[in-house]
Amino acid sequence: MELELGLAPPNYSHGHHQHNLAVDDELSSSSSSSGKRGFREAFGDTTATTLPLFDDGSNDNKRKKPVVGWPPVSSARRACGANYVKVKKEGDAIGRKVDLALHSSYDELVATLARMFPTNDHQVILHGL
Amino acid sequence: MVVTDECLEMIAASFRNFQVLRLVSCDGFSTAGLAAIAAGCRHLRELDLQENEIEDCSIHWLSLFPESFTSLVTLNFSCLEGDVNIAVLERLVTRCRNLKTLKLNNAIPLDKLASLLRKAPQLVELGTGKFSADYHPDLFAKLAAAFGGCKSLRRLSGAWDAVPDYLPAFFCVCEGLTSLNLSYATGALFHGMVMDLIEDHGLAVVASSCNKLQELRVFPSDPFGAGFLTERGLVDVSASCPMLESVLYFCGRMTNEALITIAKNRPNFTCFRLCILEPHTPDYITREPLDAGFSAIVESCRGLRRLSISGLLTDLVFKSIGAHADRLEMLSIAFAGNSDLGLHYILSGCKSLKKLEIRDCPFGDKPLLANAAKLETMRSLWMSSCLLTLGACRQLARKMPRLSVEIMNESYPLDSLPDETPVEKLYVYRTIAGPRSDTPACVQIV
Repeated sequence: MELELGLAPPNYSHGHHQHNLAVDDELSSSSSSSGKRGFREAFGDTTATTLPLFDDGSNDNKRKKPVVGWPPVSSARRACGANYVKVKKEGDAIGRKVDLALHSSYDELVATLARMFPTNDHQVILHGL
Repeated sequence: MVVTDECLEMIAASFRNFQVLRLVSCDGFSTAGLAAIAAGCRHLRELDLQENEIEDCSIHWLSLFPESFTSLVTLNFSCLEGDVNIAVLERLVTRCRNLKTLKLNNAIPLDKLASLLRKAPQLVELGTGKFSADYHPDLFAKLAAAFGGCKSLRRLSGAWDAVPDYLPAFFCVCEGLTSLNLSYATGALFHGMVMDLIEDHGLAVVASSCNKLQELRVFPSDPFGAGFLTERGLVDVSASCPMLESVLYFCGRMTNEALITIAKNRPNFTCFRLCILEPHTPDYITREPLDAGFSAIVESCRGLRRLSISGLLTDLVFKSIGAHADRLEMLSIAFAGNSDLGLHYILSGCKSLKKLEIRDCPFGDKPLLANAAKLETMRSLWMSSCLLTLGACRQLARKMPRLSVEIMNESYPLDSLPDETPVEKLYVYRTIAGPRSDTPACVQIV
């Protein structure tokens, strides 16, 4: 195992692994708060942590995957970070908006759509916005 | 909640004397539904649209209020995304002499805001909408004069994107303000500390002018952005506003020392909601958890009724809250605590607790079952992404027939699943009417 020394800006490692744990693995949330490294951080799912001298911060936005429903600001206030898609059901005049940024898998999206359009068998057409 | 245009049309057609329509966090309707309300509700006093998703059908719904219609007291269309006919809005505002609350959307430019204010100087509550424009001395003067005419203005909300430049324009109303609700734009990372200081400083200047302030809400308009307010803004506000009782504050960093100072400054807080944007953020100077800071808040603010905590927190903070927050009715917790003890402290303490909402905390079955009786003294408990199992929820339901135990898991039906199945979302509330029959498919009652 390589030994890597580095000075990190505040919250450098917190910001990274917290989101992975919260979104991907709810059962490990305890390990994150006790300071122990979760499975993912110890064994691989880390982006390359070069010395921050070479880190101009431009990677920060890519690294931050939004945690669902956090921060607790309503979607009406969210200026960016949201990725809305308008969904219309055949036969319904009014479409619904779905924020793709809040879904981390196809299954979650299907579940949301099923809730929004309770049904038997209607077609659901997705339009990109 | 889903509301359709048909619902709104039915309301307009059925109720001759319909007066108040307030929709909060709804969707499924459009400006066509609003048009029906405008055209049909001849005695409407309040049209209050808060944070809804409203489809824009390009219908000029505002024009459908008849010329004879003058009864409006509250008009809030801040969540509407589309354009509004400003000339029509001005005529409506002019003839509704009892208008007390006006909350505009982002489509109203600053110069039109000034002319609206001149037509409605009696306003008590104003939502400014975007409040953003390049600085122009003429516009500044118009705005300052318009605000100057609003002697009754007490509550102000809106965006803050250009506040530093236009701040002085509403200084004259600051003296009378009791409530301030601002969302602020976050700056680019490279502005770094300077941007933070300007933001905090801007808030401090506003706060020092608003010494009658009772309620302050400060939101980020870009919650995923890099710039943010810091603890300094809140410390300054707590020092300058002796009547401040209610705070909702989003920021990027905090310290125990700041919270202790805030607690000393404002023992009169009844509502303290602090949201540090990044989960698990420690005291940025000492790197310690923020237990000491929040403990100081609950120890000092004996009248605290609502509390939201954030940042890096251990079970210790829950020990303090359980022991000291005697009047606390609502508590919101996220990404906090180390063990079951945390939840146990809360449920075995907090004498007045009514509503508890928890997400992403390492709380499991034991404290829930050990404190089952407490749940009957509360209105509701929400727990999501914690360490609960289906078996414990089944036990709880068996043990407490006057509680409704609702579970929302992606996989259902639950009946066939084993006790060890993790519970994704739990909602428990007391009931004397038995299980409800209108659960959507995603909700199952255990």
